[in-house]
Amino acid sequence: MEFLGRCGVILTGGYLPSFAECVLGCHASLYSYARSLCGEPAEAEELLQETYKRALAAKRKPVAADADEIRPWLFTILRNIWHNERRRRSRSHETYLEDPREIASPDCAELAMSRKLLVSEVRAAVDSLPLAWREMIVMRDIEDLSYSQIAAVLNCPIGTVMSRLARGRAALRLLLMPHGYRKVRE
Amino acid sequence: MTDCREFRPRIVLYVDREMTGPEALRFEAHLMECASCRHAYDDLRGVVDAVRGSGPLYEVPDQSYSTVRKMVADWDRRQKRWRWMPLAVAAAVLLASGAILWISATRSGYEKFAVRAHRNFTRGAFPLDIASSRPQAVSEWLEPRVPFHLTLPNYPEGGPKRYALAGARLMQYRGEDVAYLAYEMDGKPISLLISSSSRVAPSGGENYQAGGLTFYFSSEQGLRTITWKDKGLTYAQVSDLDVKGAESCAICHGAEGEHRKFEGLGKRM
Repeated sequence: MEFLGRCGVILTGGYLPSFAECVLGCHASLYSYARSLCGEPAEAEELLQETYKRALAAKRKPVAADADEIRPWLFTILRNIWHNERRRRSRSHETYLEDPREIASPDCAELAMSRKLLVSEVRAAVDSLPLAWREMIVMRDIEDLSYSQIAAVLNCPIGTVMSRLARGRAALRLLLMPHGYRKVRE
Repeated sequence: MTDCREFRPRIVLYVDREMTGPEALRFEAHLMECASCRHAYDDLRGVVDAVRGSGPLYEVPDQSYSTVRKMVADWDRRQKRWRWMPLAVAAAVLLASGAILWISATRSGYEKFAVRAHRNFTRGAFPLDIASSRPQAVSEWLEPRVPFHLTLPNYPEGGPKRYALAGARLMQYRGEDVAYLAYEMDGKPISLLISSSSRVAPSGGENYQAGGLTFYFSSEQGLRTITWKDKGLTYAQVSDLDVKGAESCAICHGAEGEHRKFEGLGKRM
C-alpha cells in the first residue's frame, strides 16, 4: 500500500485515483487555506465551494492522480478567486504587514490565561499573523507545499516566498515565546 | 566561522527539506560541530514544529465535505456519461461512412461489372446464349428469362443506324438476372446491360440531362461507359468507340425522332 502525497488517496496495487478522487482528497487542505485567507468560516466555505466549482469546470486540468500538481493548482484557483473578490470589494480586512515588530504582543487575555503552550494557542498565534505571512505558514508548515509550489500559487519568485516565510516565522516566534513553544515538541 | 556564514542562512532550507542529499549531509556534519548553528536550528525547528504539531489549524465542518463530495460526484457522473459521447459519435461516423461506401460501391459496381462483361465478350471468353441480328428473335428469347419486359426496337436495315445486333445472353448481377446485349458498329463491339434491380443505380464521373433522363459517363482503360435509368430499368453501355461523352448516344440514336432526346447532349459537348 502506498500513500499518494497529501492527496489523501490511498493507492493499492496499480490503482490510480481518478481526478475526482484527487480533488476530493484535497478538501481539508483547501479548507484550511481558505480559512487562513478569509478568517470567517462561512466566507471560507463559500470560497471553497466556488473553488471546486471552477476547478471542475476548468477546460485544462492537471493530469489525474498527480496530487503534486492538483493540490497547488487548486490552491492557485482558490487564491485567485479570493484575490479577485477582495479587489472587487475594494476592502481589505487585513493588511500585508511585513515587519514583525508591528505584530501585537501576545499578551491578549486568551493567550495569557495559561503559560502552557496549547494547540489552541498556536492556532491563535497563526491567526493573529498578517495575512501575507499567515498564508505562507499555512501553505508551508501546515500543508507542506514546497517553495516552488507556493511561488506558483502566489505567482511570485521563490525569494519572496522565503522572505515572507522567514518573517512570518520570526513573528510567530515572538508570539509563541511567552508560552514556551518548545513544549510542543516534547 | 566561515562555515557558519555559509550554513546559517541555509538552516531554513534544511528545516523545509529544500536541500539536496549531499548538501543536507554537509549541513548535518556542520551542525554536529557548531553549537551556535545548532542553537539557531533548534530555535527555528521549535517554531516550525509548534505549528506542524498543532495539527489541522481549522476544524473542517462535516457539512463542507458533504457538499463538496456531492458536487464532485455529480461532476464525475456527468463526465462518465459524456465519456461515451466521443465513442458514440465515432461509431455513428463509422456507420455513416460504411453506409456511404456501401451505397457508393453498390452503385458504382454496375458500370465496372459492365466493363468486365464487355472485356470478356471481346476476348471471346463470353459466349452469347443467342446469336442473332434480329431484335425480335432476341426479345423473344429474353422475354421469359428476365424479370422485366423487354422489346428491342426493330430498326430498319439500311437506315441511318450503323450498328447491328449480334446477340444476347443472361448474366447474374448481385443475385438478379441481367440482360446482356451485344451490338457491333464499324466492326467494334458495343455491350448493353439491362437490369431491373432497385439496388442498381447509374453512376459515373460526368452527367448530362437530356430527354428527361440523366446519363452518366465514365471512361476506363480506353472503354467508355454510359449508364442511365429509364422506366425502372438501369442501362449500362460499354464500347471503345472513339467518341466523347454524349456523342456516343447520338451515334446510335441519330435517327429522326430519336434526336429529340439527345438535343441537350449535343449542346453540352
